[in-house]
Amino acid sequence: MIRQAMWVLGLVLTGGALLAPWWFAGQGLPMALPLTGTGFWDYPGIATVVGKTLLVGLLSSLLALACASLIMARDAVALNPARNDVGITFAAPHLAFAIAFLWLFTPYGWFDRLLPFSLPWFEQQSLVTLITILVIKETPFLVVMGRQQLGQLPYRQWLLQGQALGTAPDRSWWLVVFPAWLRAMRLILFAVAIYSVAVVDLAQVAGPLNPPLLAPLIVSWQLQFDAVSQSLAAQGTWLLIAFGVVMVVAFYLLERSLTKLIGWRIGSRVKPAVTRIAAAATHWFSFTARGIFVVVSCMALVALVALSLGRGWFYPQVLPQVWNFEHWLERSGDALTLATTTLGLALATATLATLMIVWLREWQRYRSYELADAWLLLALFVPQLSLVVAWLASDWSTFMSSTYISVLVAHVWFSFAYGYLVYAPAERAVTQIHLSVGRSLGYRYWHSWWWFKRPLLHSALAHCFMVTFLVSVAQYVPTLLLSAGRLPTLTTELVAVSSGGEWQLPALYATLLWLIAFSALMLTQITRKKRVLR
Amino acid sequence: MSSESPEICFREQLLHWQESGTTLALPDIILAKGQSAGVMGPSGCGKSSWLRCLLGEAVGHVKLTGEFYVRDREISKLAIEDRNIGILLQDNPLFPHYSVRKNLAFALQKKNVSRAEQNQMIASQLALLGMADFIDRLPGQLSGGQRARIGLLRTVLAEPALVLLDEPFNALDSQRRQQVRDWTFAFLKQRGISSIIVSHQADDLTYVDQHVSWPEGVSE
Repeated sequence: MIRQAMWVLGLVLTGGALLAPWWFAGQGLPMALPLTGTGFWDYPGIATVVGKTLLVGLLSSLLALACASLIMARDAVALNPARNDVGITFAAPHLAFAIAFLWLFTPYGWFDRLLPFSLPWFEQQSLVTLITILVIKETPFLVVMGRQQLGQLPYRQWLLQGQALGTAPDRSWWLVVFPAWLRAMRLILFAVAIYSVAVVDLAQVAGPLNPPLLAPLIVSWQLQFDAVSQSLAAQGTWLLIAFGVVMVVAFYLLERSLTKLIGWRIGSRVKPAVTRIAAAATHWFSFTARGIFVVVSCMALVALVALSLGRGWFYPQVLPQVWNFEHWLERSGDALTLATTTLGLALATATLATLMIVWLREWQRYRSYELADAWLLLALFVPQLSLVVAWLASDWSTFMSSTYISVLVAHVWFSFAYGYLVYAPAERAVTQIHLSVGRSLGYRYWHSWWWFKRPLLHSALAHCFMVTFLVSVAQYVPTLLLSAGRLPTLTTELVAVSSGGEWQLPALYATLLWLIAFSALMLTQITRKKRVLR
Repeated sequence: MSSESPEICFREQLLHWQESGTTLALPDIILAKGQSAGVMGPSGCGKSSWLRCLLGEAVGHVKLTGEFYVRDREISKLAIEDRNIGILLQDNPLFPHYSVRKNLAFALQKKNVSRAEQNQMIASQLALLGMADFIDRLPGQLSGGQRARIGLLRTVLAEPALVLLDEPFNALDSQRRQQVRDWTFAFLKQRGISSIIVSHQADDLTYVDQHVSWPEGVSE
């Protein structure tokens, strides 16, 4: 009886935490559609805003998918595929990485000073810069998630069968494994595409201005309190949701078209020389891309540390006049407070989200009932900004007892979906028999889980905790808007101080942000390794 | 080797376990066109690893050395796709996300024929099996026996000199097992394709031309 009550209590708490934000979103979503005649389409430059926003969403996601597919192609056919090659780029907070990228590659940046010629591609705030940063950041995410999805497929057996039928392994990857992998990646790709079209913080720092992209424009409207701006924000929210739908449809059609196209190639003869050249090109690209990710990420980290320690670093000097910790000491009070808030939120978020994910998986096992992943990942399929704007217009703030709780709930809610993406496939692959054997020996359900099932999921749990932690660290829109600026974190402050011409303070905050994220990655690796060595 | 040389000739085979350092000397296998050899041995003795080595797969824990001729060609240094050896595994013999037609088309790419000819070929082969209506079905829509037959047909359509069968009937119930087994051996014999089958069940080896005993002792 008590055990049943515990399950019911868990269901109420987890279900409530997952469903309540939807209820608030439904309550607060402003019914102001961006129809003709509402004035929305008369806003100066709105057509450019729409075009550029869709271009960023489509192009960055497509390029990231192409890069990730080529890296996966090499991984799948390699006997000892790399595992930690993209870790440093994956763990780098988007914003910290963007700050360093801008300092390194834009005019008056470090490479501009070092090289005898200018790098013409990257302006401080431009479409190309934003798309490049998004591709460099999204590709490792797709690779990490893609490896997990690939692990669920019997792809080695498929490659072997393909080879036994006379097809080279690289070609077998594209003909047999890739369509199935792409299908398995569908929800993750939707999430990436929607994130790209609705990105706020990166777009504010590296995206085009005059006019900006739609998401940062909505934030600026939302932060102005006149009726016209609020109406524009409400209509923009709907347009952003429509863009999310466009991304989902576009990527679904892309998946179907690619699968169809590949299906047509089955049975076609290809000259062995062509297969060899294609395999060599894939190998070269995969190697180069990994190299670029690692080198650029390492350079970015070094650049941030150097920027925060250097004094009198004026153009065109390659190195600063003085190195010292003066700036760190001057700013240590503020930085420490921000870091503590960021760390506290991230730890609380990761703990709560991981507990909810574990509980929900066990509840599904216990009830022999599998909820469709799409329902649990739904938070990833609606632009975050649209949801937060809707919450602001609902009873959300009345319901939450404090600003901290309000922000924490939002962090947990958004982190949950990413954590579930990481944990659920690993949990599904583990047999329940050990838990049942434990119970047959007299252990209670969660006792048995702890002693017999948890050790098998140690790596997945560590990974889930790390991912939810990193998602919380990177949260900008919910933190800024739900707290109305009263709960500053390293991420919100980094965006705020990045708009000026000064580099040192953004670099200091970005370094701290990166160090926090990198510590989480290192701790996860150490914990996993210790487990293996035992 | 002369023109009357056997289709398959594996000699002086040594299977070496990297970790323990033990080595097993395996009997020679010499097969004429269409002949079959059956290997029986207890579970975990290395039969499947040996088959995978013959196929050309890099198996981490064991290494196979010896002389390996398929149609007079030494295959040791060749990639899997160039060895002219097909394999039929015990479960999931087909690509589950492709229809029967696509699965079979996969084996026809070396033939360099038009798509229309390919389709005709597939349709006629399926008709011979009495499975013409299954051409556009997915493997998940077939029974275990039907999957096994399509799996073997796909392997055979690639025209290998040798087919390796690794416990191919394990996923079938006893009644279906006997039917599919009888059909498999007749089918391979009729097409003149040599085969090596490993199994832990004596019944599976009823029709083979040669019985190969898996050695019990371990030599250096």
